[in-house]
Amino acid sequence: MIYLAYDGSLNGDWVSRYAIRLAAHASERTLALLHVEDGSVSPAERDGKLEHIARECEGPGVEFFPQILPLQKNVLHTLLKVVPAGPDSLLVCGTRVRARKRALLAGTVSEQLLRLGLFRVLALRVVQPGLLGCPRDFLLPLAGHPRGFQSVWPFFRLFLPDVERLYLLRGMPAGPLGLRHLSEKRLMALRAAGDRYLQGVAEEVRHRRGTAEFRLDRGVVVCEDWVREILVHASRLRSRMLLLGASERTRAYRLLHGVGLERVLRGAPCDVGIYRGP
Amino acid sequence: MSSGRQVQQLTSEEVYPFLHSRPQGLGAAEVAERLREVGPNTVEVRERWGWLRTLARQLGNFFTLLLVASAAICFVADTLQPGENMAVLGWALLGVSLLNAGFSFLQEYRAERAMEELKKFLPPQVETVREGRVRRIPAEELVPGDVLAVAEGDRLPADVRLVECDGLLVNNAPLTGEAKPLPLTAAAVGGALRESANVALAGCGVLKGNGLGVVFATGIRTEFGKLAHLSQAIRRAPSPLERETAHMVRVLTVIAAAMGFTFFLYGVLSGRPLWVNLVFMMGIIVANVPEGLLPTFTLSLAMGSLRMARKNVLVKGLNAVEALGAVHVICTDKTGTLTRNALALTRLADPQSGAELGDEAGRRLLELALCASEVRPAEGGFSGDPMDVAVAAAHAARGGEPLAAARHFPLDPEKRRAAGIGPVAGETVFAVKGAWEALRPHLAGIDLERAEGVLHALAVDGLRVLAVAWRPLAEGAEGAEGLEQDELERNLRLAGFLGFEDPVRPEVPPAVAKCREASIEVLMVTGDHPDTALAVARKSGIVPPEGGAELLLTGAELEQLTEGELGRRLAGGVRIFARTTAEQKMKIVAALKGLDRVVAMTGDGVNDAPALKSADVGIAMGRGGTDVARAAAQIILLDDNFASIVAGVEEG
Repeated sequence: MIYLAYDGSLNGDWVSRYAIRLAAHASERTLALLHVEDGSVSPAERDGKLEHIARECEGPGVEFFPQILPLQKNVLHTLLKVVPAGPDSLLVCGTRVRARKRALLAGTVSEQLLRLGLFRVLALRVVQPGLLGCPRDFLLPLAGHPRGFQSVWPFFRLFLPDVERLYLLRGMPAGPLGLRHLSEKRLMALRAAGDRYLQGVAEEVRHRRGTAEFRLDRGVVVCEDWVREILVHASRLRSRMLLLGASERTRAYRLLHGVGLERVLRGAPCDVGIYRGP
Repeated sequence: MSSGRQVQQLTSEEVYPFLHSRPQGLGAAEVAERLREVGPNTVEVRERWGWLRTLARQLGNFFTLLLVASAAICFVADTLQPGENMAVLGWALLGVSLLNAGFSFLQEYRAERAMEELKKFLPPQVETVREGRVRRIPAEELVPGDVLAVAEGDRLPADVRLVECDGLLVNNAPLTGEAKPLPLTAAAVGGALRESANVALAGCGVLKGNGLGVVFATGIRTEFGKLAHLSQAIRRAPSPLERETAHMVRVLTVIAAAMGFTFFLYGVLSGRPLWVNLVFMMGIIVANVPEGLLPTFTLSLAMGSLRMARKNVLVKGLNAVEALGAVHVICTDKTGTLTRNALALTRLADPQSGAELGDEAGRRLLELALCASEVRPAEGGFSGDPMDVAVAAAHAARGGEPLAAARHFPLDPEKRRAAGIGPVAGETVFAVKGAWEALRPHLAGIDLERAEGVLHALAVDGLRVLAVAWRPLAEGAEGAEGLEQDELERNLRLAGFLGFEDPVRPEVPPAVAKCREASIEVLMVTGDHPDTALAVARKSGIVPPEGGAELLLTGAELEQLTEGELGRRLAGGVRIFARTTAEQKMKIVAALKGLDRVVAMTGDGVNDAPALKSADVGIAMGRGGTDVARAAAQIILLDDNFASIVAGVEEG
């Protein structure tokens, strides 16, 4: 079941397009919209927007169920009461800019939902509304997690009918001394290791995609700044959607590395989806 | 194929509601919300403390830290045992390390020049419809959903989906490198977003007509913005010299530390005072630090760059001198670099037999072509469209008299032909000159299949071919005054084909041979037709004089290959890339780097900037290149000549 955490903002409207496309590709073809009445949007405006979303659901034949939820304690608590835990639930939410330039993800309800890991969560940052929730060109940066494509598959399969190109990008860290001090031998060894990893992921993609036809490409980059390489590749490949996995990290790691996700969200030349499964 | 729609697939009536806009434009609150959400419409990524991070990176360089540590050791040693001038050495080491870090910081900071040139393609102010009124606003304040009016002469500030269109023609050269005008429409179209005929892209210019559109992408999310982002964000990989230097420094550091410690131990075991042993150890370590290495390298590279300047190669980054000397592959443009970029008319072909036309027939063909051309006498010859000038020059070379056309129909980019009415061999004729596909529907009394065969044979030879057709005007020029070109173009007789060639520079084949002897591969990367590219590659010596077609890849084929597959094809000997785009240049660079090649890439267009930055050595054209390409490159060819690159490689 696909749920959309909808806050009534313009960003929420842009995110809703993605939720509609995902629901259109899911087996139940159902979208449950959850709006928590926190006073951020007037009822009249909200109802107008919900009518608009309902009309957009008609085209792809998606059944639309809006639910207006009275606020209980806070937005997170209210949502957790409604969305059943487990891998069968997918909650789509946004990462919108907040006042005083605070972080796009850190400290938000979306971040808390991702960290709780009770159900599948896809947090979206939409900066290209002209795509209408149909990006077609995907970039999947992979940091070498042993699960490989397994963790992204439950999300990616819902995009599958719209995919025209998927690029797998593996980043290999150059080490503490940087690229300049990397010997040729070590550089080649890192590239070979990255390529072996991507070969395995590519095989898994081919196996899982079934009859879906799309171009599959891959590349390994040995780098000092992984975030920069992701953003450069997104521009170079003209990707329309960056899919990044979020995993639980220690506070110290988040302090040192957590800002990477924020840098991607702020600097990406395309829409970004951050996913995490239960 | 995806069933989901993107903005180019909407009808013009659907565009407003889908982009949450309306014909009256956005309200103030809507604009503020969108500005907050996606940020200002700027292609420059401003990192608040970016300059500090850059400086910290230079100061945190291993060699710099080694020099600073050595300086600290000298100061300590001077405190423990003054009078040995260790403080002087310390200050010298500190000076060298700060100079080196500062120099590298400045070089990286100067790279932002490319961004300044790119920003010139975007207008500072635009007219948009907001709250029912047309307002002039800074382009930075544009947001998705804004309604934009576009007119002749405008530069587009953002990516726009057209909803109204009246004869709109745009020039997408900043993005595609081709100056060919593109007609736009407001109707829904299929296909890829950035190639859609109902989308006007940021950075491009409006040549003709006007229209109304809704903004759907701003800033670095536009196609132009991505190009600008790449020009800023790409960092060059360390050059072979930098890597070797770093390796040597690491080895010397280990040796210095080991020697120092050994002598310290020896001193302690032989009963010398601790402080004496410490100072001696510090002296050994500092003595082994190659503090003179950096100034020596810099000086020798600077001298190399001076010698290269005498050979028409201007060096902007000193590391390029060394990188050019270590290059494995040179990816070169065709037009203007391998060739002279001066069209010459070299074939006058009979339209049925393909044979070269004799004197009289050839002169008549030239007169008909001249009737459909527009040239003006100029110093040294003629001025006008390069092909028209070539026709006039060939006509004059055969002793032809200047021809005064009574009426001229200029070259129409959509029709792909030009025409004229004038006297030829004593009779008034209507003559047309243009692409074969454009003339073919209007021809009569000829075997079209045979003519097509002649055309193909000429194209295979690498020539650019124009067809010339005509018909007599029985009433004379006066009777045809009121008639439009379309009315005159009927029952035309095919007079012949003109074959134009852009000759290879004479110094190119020896330069290519020199590269082959030095085991440097030369690849041609061009947007031109495969047949033309192959012909020039054969004449340049890049591929053998016969054959070589198997060493050619078109852009369409390249698009279907993964980077790994492309790498294998390159390793297998592919030498020519035809009908390629600027993005594909970057793919070629990435594939070559994946094969551990040091790559030099030439470019002249705005859209070549990312490829120039991502290559190990980016080479821009000094004469024909854009300011953006020159700002992004490390080396500028002052004479646009391929042979100068080879001279630069020799110096490197």
